[in-house]
Amino acid sequence: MIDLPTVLAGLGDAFSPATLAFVLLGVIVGQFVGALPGIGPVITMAVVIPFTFVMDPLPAIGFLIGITKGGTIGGAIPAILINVPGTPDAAATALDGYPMAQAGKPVKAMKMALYSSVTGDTFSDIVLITVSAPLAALALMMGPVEVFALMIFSFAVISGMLGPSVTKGLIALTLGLLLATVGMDPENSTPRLIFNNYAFFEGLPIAPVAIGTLAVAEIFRRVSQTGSGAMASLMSTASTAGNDSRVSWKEYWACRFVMLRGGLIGTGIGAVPGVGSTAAAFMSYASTKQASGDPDSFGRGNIKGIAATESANSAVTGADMIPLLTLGIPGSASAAMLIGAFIIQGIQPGPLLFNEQGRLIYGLFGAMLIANAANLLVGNVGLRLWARIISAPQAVILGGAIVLCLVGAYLSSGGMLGIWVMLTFAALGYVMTSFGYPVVVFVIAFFLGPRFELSLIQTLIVTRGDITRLLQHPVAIAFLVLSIVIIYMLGIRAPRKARAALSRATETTR
Amino acid sequence: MTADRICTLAILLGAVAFLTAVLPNGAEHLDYGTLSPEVMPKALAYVIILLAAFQLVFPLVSHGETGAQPQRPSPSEALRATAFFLLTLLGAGLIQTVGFLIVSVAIATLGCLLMGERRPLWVGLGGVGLPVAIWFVVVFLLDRNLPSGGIL
Repeated sequence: MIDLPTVLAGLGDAFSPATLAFVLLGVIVGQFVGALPGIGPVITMAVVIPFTFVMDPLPAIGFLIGITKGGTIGGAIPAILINVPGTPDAAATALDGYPMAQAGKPVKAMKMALYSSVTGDTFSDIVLITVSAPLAALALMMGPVEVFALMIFSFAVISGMLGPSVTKGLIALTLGLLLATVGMDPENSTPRLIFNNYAFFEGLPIAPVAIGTLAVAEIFRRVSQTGSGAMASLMSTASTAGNDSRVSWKEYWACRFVMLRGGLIGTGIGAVPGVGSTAAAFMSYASTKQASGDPDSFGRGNIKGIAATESANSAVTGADMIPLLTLGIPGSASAAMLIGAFIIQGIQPGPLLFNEQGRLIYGLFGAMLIANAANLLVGNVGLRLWARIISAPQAVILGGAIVLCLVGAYLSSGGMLGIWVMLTFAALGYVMTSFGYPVVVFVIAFFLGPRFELSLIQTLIVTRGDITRLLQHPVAIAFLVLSIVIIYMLGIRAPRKARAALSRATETTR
Repeated sequence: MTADRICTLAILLGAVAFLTAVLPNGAEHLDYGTLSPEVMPKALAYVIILLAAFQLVFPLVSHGETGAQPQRPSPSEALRATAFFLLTLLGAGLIQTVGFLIVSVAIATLGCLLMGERRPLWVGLGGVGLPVAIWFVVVFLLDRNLPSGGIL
């Protein structure tokens, strides 16, 4: 276990001027890009990761954490003002946020989104700080066979949850693992699939792959969809009445159980890889509506609807770090970006991190709490400013974004190689998204590929290639059985049910 | 569904081509050790073939509520995306020759125009202002090198 001086030293590091400045900058950038529909924190993280090469690990990771947390608040702004969620997880916020804005209370709606988001986020951060060290200690008791089985289990969950079809999710996963085999073979250190191009000896560069697949592919999509240059401008006008532009303590306190429920749902869902904040937001919204004495008021500008969705989707951000830090398994696109940043900084996330880099971990926890405070501060000051940004033409934003991607890819590899890799993976990402192959699964598999192969080798050594020796590892057997159950449930049973429901609906309409 | 099947078929054939043409020349077989270098990519390629064949026969669409849905572009959207991709590709090819700044200004400006932005102020800001600002920050403030192409 980590001793108290390490914890205090880590928390102290979080308050160093550099970390404070970068967390604050990250929050500002996150809120800014979150308010721009189509850009979002994940793309931004992919673009800025190469710029963090020269930074110390804590400010670098704190900066990225700030972007993620800021993005959850920024995404609510266009959802409330123009009914276009800045990030997918803010879609549920639009259900009550937009009617409130139309009723002349956009600032009140945005402030409620801000307060409930910070509340949910802080709740899940506290859970993360409390449970992650014991979970990591538990994870350390697992041997390589269990770790390998756990990775299979995580892959099954992520593939099943993050795509429209499990088969496509598994294909994306396998493709990611396959491309991760380019470079040095981990056991014998022989070159593999590099065809005498020794620039690839350490594998395909992580940052350009992430920038291309997640950011540039999405920019291409946005460019192709933006025909008129300008985005929808702000339609609603804010009321000047004092009560309509602020959230009173009474109103906030009236939502305490709603936010607590949202926090619990978001934390629970965030801790499971692959489910994601959008599901958490809708689940929290549905349960709040169900528990309400006046369910009909939801969807018509009920402030509790905003509190429910924003507390839940923000709570996912902290809980998302539980599998990442304790097991080294990212469960979402933003967590995948963070694991990429960790790897680039020479740090391997996982249970050993708590023993080897305890100070960094508690510095990170401190940075997360600081980011929440910064979110509140920046949000209170910047909400009206971000609201104006929505009316900026998307053509301008996307033009700047592609230049940033080129710079990022170039800097990350120190030459043109990064740009060529980025463009190749941008084309791949565009095609994958067009046909419903989840790129997030692909990127996660690509990042975890080397570790997966190493785990497989260790498992083969431990079991001496004899599959019956797996019986000596009941935990691993349990994970493998669960993987099969999940694939069956999501890949065979769910589509069967969906088809049956569809045919019933068709018959009814006849 | 047809386009979906064609895509799946392309994945399947790609995996077969990888197994037959790429892998034999790209990874060696070792008789010692636990896992020969070519085993992992070979196994993964076989898995892709199996999954793609399954997807071809049973193009199942599952839950689909929380997961990423296909974002199939219309022909005009696909054309515009391809045009922007080729533009970026061309720009990338010219970076070493004419320099990063000029290329980034050209890509951003043409990108703005491709997206239908015609207002001079916004085109100027997005096409020239932002790339110059980014270049200035990277080269002068972050002190990192970007190709100058002998012009700047």
